[in-house]
Amino acid sequence: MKYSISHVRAGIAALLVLFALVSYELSGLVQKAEAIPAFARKYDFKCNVCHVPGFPKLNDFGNLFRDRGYQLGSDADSPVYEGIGMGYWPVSLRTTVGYQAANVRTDGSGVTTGGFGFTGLDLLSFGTLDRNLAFGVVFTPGLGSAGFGTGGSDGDLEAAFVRLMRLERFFGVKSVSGDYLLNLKVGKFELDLPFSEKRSPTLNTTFAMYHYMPGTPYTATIGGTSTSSYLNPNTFAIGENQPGAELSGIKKTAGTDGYFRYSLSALATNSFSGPLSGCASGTTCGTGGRNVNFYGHVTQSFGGYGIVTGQRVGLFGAYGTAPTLVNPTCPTCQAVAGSGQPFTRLGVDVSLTLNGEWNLFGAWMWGNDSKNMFVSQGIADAQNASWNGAFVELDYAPALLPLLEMPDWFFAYRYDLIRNNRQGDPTFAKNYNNVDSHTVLVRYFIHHSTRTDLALHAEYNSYRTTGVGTNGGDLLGQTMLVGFDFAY
Amino acid sequence: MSMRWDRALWLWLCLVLVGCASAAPQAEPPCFSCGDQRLVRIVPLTKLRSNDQGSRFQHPVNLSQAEWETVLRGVMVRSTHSPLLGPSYQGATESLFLDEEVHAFGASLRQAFRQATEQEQVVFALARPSETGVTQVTSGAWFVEAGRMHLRLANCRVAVTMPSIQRQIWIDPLFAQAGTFYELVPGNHQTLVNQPSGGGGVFRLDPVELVIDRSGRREEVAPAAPEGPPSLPAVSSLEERLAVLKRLRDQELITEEEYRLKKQQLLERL
Repeated sequence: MKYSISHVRAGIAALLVLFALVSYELSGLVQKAEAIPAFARKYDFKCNVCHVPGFPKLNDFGNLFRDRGYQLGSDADSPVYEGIGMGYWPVSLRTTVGYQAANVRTDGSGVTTGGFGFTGLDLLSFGTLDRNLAFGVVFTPGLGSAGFGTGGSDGDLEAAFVRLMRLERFFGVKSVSGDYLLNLKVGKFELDLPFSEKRSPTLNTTFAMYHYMPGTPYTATIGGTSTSSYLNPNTFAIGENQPGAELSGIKKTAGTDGYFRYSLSALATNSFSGPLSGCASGTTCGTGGRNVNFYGHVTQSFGGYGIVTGQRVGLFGAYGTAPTLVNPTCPTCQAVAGSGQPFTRLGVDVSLTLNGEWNLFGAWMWGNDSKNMFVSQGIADAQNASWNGAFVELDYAPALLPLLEMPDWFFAYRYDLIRNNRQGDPTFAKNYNNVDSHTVLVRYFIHHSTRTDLALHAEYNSYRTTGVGTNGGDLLGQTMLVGFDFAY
Repeated sequence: MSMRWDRALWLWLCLVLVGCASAAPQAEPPCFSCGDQRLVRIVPLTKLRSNDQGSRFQHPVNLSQAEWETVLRGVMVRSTHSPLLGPSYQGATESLFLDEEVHAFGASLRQAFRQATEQEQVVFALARPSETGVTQVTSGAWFVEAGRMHLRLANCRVAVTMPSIQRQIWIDPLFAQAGTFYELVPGNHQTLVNQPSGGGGVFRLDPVELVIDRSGRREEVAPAAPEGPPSLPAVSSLEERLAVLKRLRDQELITEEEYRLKKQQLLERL
């Protein structure tokens, strides 16, 4: 059956109405669910102690709890604390079930897809092994039916790490209560991004800036397609979980009534970094390479943590060398490119809050990839690829929605953009792969007791990617998701 | 997607945002304790989400400080736990209000009930901050009906970290948050009402209600025959009420604005 755009419109309208009706009806279920997310169970907290209404976004307290190694500073932090219920087990799961649809158009024609399914499944375990010794594991089973039928068949250990907290004490530094000056995290983890993508309320739309790669057309998470690209051996994206080690710390700054935070990560890529054969004279054939990249982020907040109360500014950046791949048609080109070529990312981020309910935040980042990456791909007259990425998001999490006088609503709007300054392949137009993406979403907490999260979620995204479509036209896409997001 | 549909979505979003931003703040009723950690104030029934509209309470009430402290110390709670594995269990029974809270809270309630009218309830909220950053909030309403004291409890030691949520509870102490781990334990001469007549609603949790038949001085709090004249020592005459009001203003326990508002309300009843 072929769907027209009018079908999509009608479907979206119907689902939004359905969303409102269902949220009204299901609100009567509040206080009846019995599931047990790990931390809520451990501390006897309801979910919005750590999250703004409509998880998974963390509030100030939740961010501090995470920064301090999942510790409150009380006896209950220890997993063997006698006061913890006997049923405590630090495992949670999360998925979203519902209806997802996408419409992608280029050169006047398009295709619409849609269907019921689920986004995937995360099995999460976070907690403390002992005081000042935290851990985290996120396992995603390889479910072929995940991702609304487009899931991979391989499972993935998305994160697995150990955090050693308050190492400053081994250097004779005694930190005051609440400060964790020197902490070490080892394993695979999400970088200390300006704003965590894992904790973002958007389920269907990634932060374009976090994943953008010159030469690789941006498409939405679902339903994307393109007809042109050029090769870029760089696979580093700050939005991807990375294996490595991270030093971090947080200190309350009395002068600003806020917090100073820092993180510095050394990240090991495990990709191929040199030619296995066909090396030019004088070069060394590789056997698979490990390149170390670096990422850092510092923030200073004023009058609070900067997510629910106060304001926050930050600087972040990454530097590394991306493994270059052998050009199969030109093995000797590798000698020109070398086995690792530099890339740079630099950015700033700002978060502003108002009245404890509004949060306006965003980030800007400049990226640059060495021309030798593209030389290694046999691209003639290759040049450095540079680009700017940015996003701005406005979140509204009212304690009680005015007029309707309803609690537990969450609204958000985000604008993502990518602007290329120079393409690695000079035959591509300067604005090739520019991105404009608008996302609106609304979530309603059907249930958020001390035991579980269940939210009704509606998200709509519209994006345009310049020049990646048929005959060099733009790619226009829309995605929509209406479903239940729950964590247990 | 056509521009028309785009515009409709934007219009919808804008309406939501503008509606949220333009909500007019409500005038704060006079309160007898207005701090960040303790709130006691009189609220007309018309401003409460309850089915008590039209009720006539036996207000004002003139209990002594000692009697209020006795009432407060008599409200008992216990923690409840429902683990994933294993049976549910309860913690030890303890007083809802701590000793260090009882004196000041009782004094505020005493003042409030001396001025409350038969169509007003006394709402309250107490915050108990901790070093961990979590604040335990207890809130609800008190009233006297048919010679019995009623405590309508919306939040019982609920953990709050969001300032907006605490602010909302301060605006409406009957705004119940999900996730309480405590339950009221009725003692002698106390009864739990399973379905209280107000405070909850379609989008809100229902509070629990404790009815106290007698306190330390039963003969004053609970008249034997509800149909008869209330035995509660009331500040009955208009002159007395105005005098009390003037004294509270002179003692700077209420502001000049609150004084004028209350005085006008009393005079309108003539």
